[in-house]
Amino acid sequence: MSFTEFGWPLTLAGMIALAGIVFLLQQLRARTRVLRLPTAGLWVQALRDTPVRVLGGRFRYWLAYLLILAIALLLWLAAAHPQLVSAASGGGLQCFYLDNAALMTGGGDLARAKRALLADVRATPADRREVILGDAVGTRLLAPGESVSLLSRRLDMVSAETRPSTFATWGATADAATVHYYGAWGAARGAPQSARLRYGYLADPVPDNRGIVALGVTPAASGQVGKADLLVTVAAAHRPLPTAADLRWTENGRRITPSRVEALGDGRFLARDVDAAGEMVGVALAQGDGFAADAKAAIRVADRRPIKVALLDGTPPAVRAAVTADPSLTVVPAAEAQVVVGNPVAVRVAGRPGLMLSDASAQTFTFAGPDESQRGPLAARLDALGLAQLDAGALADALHRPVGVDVRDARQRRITAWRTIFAPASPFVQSPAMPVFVSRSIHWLGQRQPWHSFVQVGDGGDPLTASLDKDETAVSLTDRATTLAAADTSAHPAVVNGAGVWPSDLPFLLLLLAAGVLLAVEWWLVQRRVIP
Amino acid sequence: MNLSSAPGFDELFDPVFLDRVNALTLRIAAAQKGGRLADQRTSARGQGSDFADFKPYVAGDDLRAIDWNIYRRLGKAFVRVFEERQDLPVYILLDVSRSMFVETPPRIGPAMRTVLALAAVTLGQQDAVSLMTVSDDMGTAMKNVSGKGGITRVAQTLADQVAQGRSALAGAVARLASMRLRRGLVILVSDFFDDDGLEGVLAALEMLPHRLLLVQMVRASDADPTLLPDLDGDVVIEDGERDGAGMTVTPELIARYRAAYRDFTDSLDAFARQRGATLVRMDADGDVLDQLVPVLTAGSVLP
Repeated sequence: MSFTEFGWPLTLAGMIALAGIVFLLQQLRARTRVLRLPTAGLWVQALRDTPVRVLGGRFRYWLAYLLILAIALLLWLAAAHPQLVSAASGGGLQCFYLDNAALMTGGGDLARAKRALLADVRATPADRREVILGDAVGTRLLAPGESVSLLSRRLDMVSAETRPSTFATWGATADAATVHYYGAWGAARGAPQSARLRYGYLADPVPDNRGIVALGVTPAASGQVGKADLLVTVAAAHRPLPTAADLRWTENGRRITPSRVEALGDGRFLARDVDAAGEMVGVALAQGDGFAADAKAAIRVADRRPIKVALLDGTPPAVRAAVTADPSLTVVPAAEAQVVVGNPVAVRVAGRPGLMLSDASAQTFTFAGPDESQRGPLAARLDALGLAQLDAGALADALHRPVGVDVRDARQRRITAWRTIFAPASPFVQSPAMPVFVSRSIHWLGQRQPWHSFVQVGDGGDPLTASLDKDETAVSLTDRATTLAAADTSAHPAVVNGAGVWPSDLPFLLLLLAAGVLLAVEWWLVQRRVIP
Repeated sequence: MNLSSAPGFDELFDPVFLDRVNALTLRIAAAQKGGRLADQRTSARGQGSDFADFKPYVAGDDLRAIDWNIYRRLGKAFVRVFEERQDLPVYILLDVSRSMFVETPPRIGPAMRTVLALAAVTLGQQDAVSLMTVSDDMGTAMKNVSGKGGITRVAQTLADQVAQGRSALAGAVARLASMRLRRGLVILVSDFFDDDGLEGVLAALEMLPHRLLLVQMVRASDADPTLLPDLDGDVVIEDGERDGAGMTVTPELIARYRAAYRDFTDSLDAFARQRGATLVRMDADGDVLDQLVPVLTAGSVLP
């Protein structure tokens, strides 16, 4: 359960306060006095003889009537919840947009923006305001009619994120009468400027900002197995571009020095032959500035070291030759192997992911692994499984058997293939598809990480890319537009906010206060028997 | 409900109070004959000192009563007859219902002192006193006590009384009327607030063959309720005999009460006048004897 007007703490505090007030009133209540008189019978007779109060009777207590009427009217007006309407806000829906993108990561910027936002929202009638968070989907923080107390709690959960602003995209489709923006001018200037766009808060720019705007990785051009090349791009707004000496490289947080970093010009640098061992490789600018979000970036370089393969009993010579010839595979004893190849008995004894060669299976190729049957259509995975180049028709003709592929669930990855297709006379052995199958299938069995060659947040206006697969990649800003926008010192429109304006609920509060005061006056008069 | 207690024996049996009582007498015009010799005038003829009449001598008359002067003048013997003074039976009814105990201080205190004073006067002139209590029913606390020594017994009997039930004056008086008692004086000490209303009480009193002395225990606030400091706003008024009545005191209600009380006292006054009874309004906050003296020192207070 939630309370739209008050939060739990305030609600509980109010309940306790009310209990105390009611207790005090109970103590102060005009208790009925008991009089012990022998003449009680005559009093009862007098009471019986006194006519009941009827409509149309003489009205005696004008003061009491006016007082109670005033209290009732005040409470009635308070129930109507009157609100102040600022002439400056105009008519129609007022949309307040809080941009929490990377440009607001500067110290205190977002907190100041929140304060300005809260002040302006309070000064706007509840039914004519809504608050939108500048995240990927434009989350509505406060719907029209909701209490501003909800907003303060929801804002507590909002923090700045290292991603480009989406205000320009959102602003193009917004249909509010007036949009109040709370963010950075560098992000807002891209939005369509109009009279309905007003600025409630604009963060100060960082004129000397420099940043890393791109970071990518690719298999080493040198062809070395287990190596990769890293491409870094930097940008600067109002100062010279950083040099290779300004870059600091790390691997899993440890400082490293790439063997060779080449400057490609226009702020691009290429670090060659970096170890591709599944580590997180980061690069940062040696000298920081006022905008830290773009001062560093990181990417996980896929593990491309050779897979250790053990060739057990029952390994056909063709498979042995293909494994030996593949530089991404290393033949090792069974105890050290990541993947084993051999007959079913030998593979099962080894207890590791393996390629089993047997003619006993029903299908030509059977792929088994955890949740393998739920991984989607098989056709989409033929390349990963090494079957994309398989000429199934020719193979079936040679074997005089239909060629089929099956996928099953199993605790551990296993591939079962007919041994006969690896016979020397088999057309499969003669085809270029055989070594590809052997290599791909062993890499599939070794569960190598996918190769993310390039990580950039927000490129193409899709900031969601940043949140995908966080375990595998590092999330970095690397957005040229954002880096340059952070240093945008161009003149911006005046900031107009509602600071100093009375809260829109002021009439409501004053009405309640007046009703309370009149109640106290009434009590005072009753105590003094001025009114009955 | 907490009720006040009646005064104790020591409080009642006050020698100073009893000395002041000695100056008082209680007389009625003529007691019914048939009682023992005492001080009250009766229609009986016999021994005594007050000459009443002559009658012809018949055999057996006391020769000492022959008026020899008449015999010398008329030649016939006449004897003098005298008025025989006998005792007066006094029946005292004391209301001990809860309404007599409900206030602080309660009305039962001065009521008992009134009874004690009247009993002392009665016993002091050799009359017989019977004491009865009235609440839900009538009870005989003491019967035909005479002689000055009986005052101690009266005081002790009064001190033993406690609050008992509701006022049922009408029934008690009606029951008294039905008893074949020697005619005498009935003294009723009560607030006269009866469940059946004053009319029932007066109707029952009308049936009594006795002389009546009515002592109404009152307070000034009965007639003027504005003297009660707490009578304001919402109040519950209870008399200890029925459920409290809640009401909001307004000037209109007070006016209605005053009218009701005035009717009540007027009815009592009218009855006393019509019945030839003596009505004494005893202020419970005043001195009992100070209020009794003007009534009793004149001698025969009852017609």
